[in-house]
Amino acid sequence: MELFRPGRDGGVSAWVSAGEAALLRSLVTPVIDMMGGDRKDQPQRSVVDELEALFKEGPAPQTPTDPVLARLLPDAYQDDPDKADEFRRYTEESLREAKKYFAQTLLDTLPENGGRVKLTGDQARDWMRAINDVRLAFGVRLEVTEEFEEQLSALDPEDPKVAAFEVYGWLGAVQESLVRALARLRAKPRPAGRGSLPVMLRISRDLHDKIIAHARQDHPDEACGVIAGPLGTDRPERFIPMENAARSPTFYEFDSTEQLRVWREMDDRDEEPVVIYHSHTMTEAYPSRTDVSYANEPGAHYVLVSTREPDSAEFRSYRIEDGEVTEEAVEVA
Amino acid sequence: MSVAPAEVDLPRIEDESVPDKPWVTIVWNDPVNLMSYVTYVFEHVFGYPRPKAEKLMLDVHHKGKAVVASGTREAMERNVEVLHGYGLWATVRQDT
Repeated sequence: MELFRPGRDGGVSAWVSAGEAALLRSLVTPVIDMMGGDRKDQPQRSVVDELEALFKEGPAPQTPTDPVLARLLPDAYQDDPDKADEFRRYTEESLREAKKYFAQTLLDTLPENGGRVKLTGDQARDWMRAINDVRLAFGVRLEVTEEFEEQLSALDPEDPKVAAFEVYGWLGAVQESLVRALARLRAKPRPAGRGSLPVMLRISRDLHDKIIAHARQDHPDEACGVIAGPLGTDRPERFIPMENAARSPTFYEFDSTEQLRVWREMDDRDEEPVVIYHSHTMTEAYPSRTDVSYANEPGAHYVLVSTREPDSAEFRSYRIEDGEVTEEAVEVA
Repeated sequence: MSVAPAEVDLPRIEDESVPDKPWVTIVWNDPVNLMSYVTYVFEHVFGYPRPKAEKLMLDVHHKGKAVVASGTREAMERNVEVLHGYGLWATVRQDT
């Protein structure tokens, strides 16, 4: 997964693998069932039926006994069951509908076999709410506390709960990336159009050599990382080698947790990823189709290094925007 | 909440809408909602500037709860509905 980042078009985008898409689907679909769970006996209701139901003194919905439902549909009044029930009677149905709608937006915008997810601001807020409902459900079932990391590390590695905690943590990273992408979008509208991008990468000899050294060190697996620079300057300055979570000679993928940490740090320091680099270990230094579909930072220089020759390294740089690859000059100074 | 049958609701609204006793929206701490998310929701839902949203979020986090808005009962109930949509644990109360 490439976590969510602000796009140039006022939306946000990310890249999910087929496995992650399937996981998200399997997590979000039960929310829809849960929110419609007690309405199965009354499928198609007309407007007249709805109106009658509103005025009927029927059995009013009560605070759910299931703790997950009680968290998703909480009482609006504390210590006043009458007011809580009355509020619930007039709002619970629409809250259930809203939650189903958020989950459905996620399902509708999630590419079935993985790939790029592009969302408008509204869709991104639907995603945030849908993912949050899943996290709340996990939180109740796993009895998550604020010391979630400690809870996880205290578990026996064989405990089946470990996987659930890890999924919960991953959903948190996705959620946080959505929040940060939306916040950044509002704070700083991005310059539009590729015309504003310089078509050359200027990089210091030191950073250039560091990238090659990292690629050599991880050979035969692909190496990857980022060089951060102050926002809007196009100056690569801070070298951040990262882990290839795929540990593969033909593929690289940032680790979601590490990516979130690195990107969060850049946001906090008013930096952006000026260079995103990775290596090819058997082929030329040109972006593969996967690399192109993964590329999520239209403002970044995508540097590719090939380590297929043991004593000479190819070092090339590209712009990748909306699936379009443009090679650019590299000036090492 | 205009759909409420008049015979049930009217008397109650009358004796509770005392002008100098406004209603408040309270958000309670919970271990699941991310701090950044809660801040974002306060900014987005109430239009609060970032520093105010952050301060309210920290109040919720450290004190267990915070009053995030005040006004008429109807407006506070509407807030709570929206906040429940975002998965925040919110309640309404008449200020005392």
